Amino acid sequence: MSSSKKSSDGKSSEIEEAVASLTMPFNKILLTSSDGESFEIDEAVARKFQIIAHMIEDDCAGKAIPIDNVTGDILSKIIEYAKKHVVEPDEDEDEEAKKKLDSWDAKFVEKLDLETIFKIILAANYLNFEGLLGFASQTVADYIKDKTPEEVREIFNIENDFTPEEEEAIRKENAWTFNG
Amino acid sequence: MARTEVSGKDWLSDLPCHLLCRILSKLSTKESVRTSILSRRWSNLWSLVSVLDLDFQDFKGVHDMGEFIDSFMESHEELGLKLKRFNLFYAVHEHFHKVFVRRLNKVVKLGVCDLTIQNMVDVDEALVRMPLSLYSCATLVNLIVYCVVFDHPGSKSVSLPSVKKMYFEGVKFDGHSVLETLISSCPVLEELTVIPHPEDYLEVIRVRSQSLESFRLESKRFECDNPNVEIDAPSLKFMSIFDNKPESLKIHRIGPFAEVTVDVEFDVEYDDPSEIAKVHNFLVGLSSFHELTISARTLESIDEYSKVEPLPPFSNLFRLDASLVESSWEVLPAFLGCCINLDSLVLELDHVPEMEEIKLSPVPQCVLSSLDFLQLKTPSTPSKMKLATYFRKNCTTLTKMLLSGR
Repeated sequence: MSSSKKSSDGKSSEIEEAVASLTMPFNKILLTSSDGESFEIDEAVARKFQIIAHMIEDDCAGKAIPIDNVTGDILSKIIEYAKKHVVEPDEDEDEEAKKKLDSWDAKFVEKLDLETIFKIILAANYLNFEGLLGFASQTVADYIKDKTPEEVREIFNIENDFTPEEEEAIRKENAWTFNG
Repeated sequence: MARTEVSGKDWLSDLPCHLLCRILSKLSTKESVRTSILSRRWSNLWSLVSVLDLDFQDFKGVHDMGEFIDSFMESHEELGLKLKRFNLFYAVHEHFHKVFVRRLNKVVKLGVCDLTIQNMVDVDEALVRMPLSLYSCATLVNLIVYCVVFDHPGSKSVSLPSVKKMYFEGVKFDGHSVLETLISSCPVLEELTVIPHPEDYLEVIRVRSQSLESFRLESKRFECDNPNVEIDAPSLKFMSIFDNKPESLKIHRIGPFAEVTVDVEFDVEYDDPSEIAKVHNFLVGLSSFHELTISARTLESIDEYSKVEPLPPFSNLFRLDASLVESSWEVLPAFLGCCINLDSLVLELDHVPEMEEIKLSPVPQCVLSSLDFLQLKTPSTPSKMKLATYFRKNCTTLTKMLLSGR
């Protein structure tokens, strides 16, 4: 059974994005990273960071906002993600747009090494950017899933600081997780 | 997979506790508890995660699983932690109702937002009944249940102020009004799925909701009757019906541009007036929608029915997406004949009809004189262009045509 939705020309999410940016006051916000890199972004994008959205609401967002805890390279990645996710497509309304965005997300994270992903998690947490925090957390969780503890230790360079007795005790206590 | 840099530094363990718990919350509880062995930093993190996602089959028995759940929730209560998600795959051989209810009451008390219970216990063995405390869970947002029972709330008030999504499959409701009450007690309900089973005795599904946007009805009953459906949902945008032998569909109110996707089959005795009335009522209900996506077998059923009874007009329908995959062109015109205001038509075919076929079953004049947009999704054959030409020549109002592959 065919599953084509309303927009046979696939433009509905672009239209939504355009409408979203029209309904916001057409302001630009300047973000400056801890190492002095500047990024000018639309207010709609900046609002994805709750910490900034609150500043805008409370009227204390000046033209330039310093982001002290985040370096330029990480901030640029976060802004890249935020721009793509300004409007989140509804799964029911636009299946195609959702699939495209998921595919973009997968490619986005594929290019990143683990150290960058962790820095993104910390920065997304600081900026209070729910969407990216959830996505990055899921990415790390996917590394842990279906792996043995030894494999996980190796991927993340985790040092096993248990004594053999302690380790044995934990294995016994949580035996049900170490089967199958 | 990202390139893993051999930097030697353990970045992961350096993340603050709450962020590590956040990562762990994306794993099943089994995977999460397993991280206890990674290092000292990790030994207890799993117990702080606000998620319990358990498969009974991972445990030695009901007692073991019960103990684990109890101690997990106890420590959460002591530490003032919430339990945001509770996901249980429940396939026990012995079910103890009081204990089960006590546990779920605690889950509710700990502020659950996402509750999923998949019960695989054989219906004859025991009924897994939901606690009454669920009826007034202020934090619940998503409720997904399979093969459980909802007792009548009795005098208890039903109020679910945060529920946005409900999924009921094979669920028994103790009384005809219980489901209706559940639905109407969710002021922000957006998504509803009801999948009736042969053993749930559901006869009527009354959907009354100001906020509901999406409703999915998928029946797994083959032999016995399906429930009657009544809809009063002024915000409804999407509905999908997957049914064998649908019963009546009464539409009181739906959203202004509501779409419906239909894949049904009427296998009725056309010499039985009550059966004819059922199909008629179902079609009248469908005719409330403005956009319709219809499967081949539905069109075949409608075509058969049209030989016995006149079809109701579908004057609200302005966009039709029809599939004739594994079917033939001749079943289409009967339905098209009721589409008197059709603006947009999308046809999916697995083989293009020859002109002789079309001459025998031409597109009705009502469609040819109102159609603005046509899309033909067919394999590329010479007859495809002939079909396109047929529409171009006979359809005077056509402004745009799209030819695409299948």
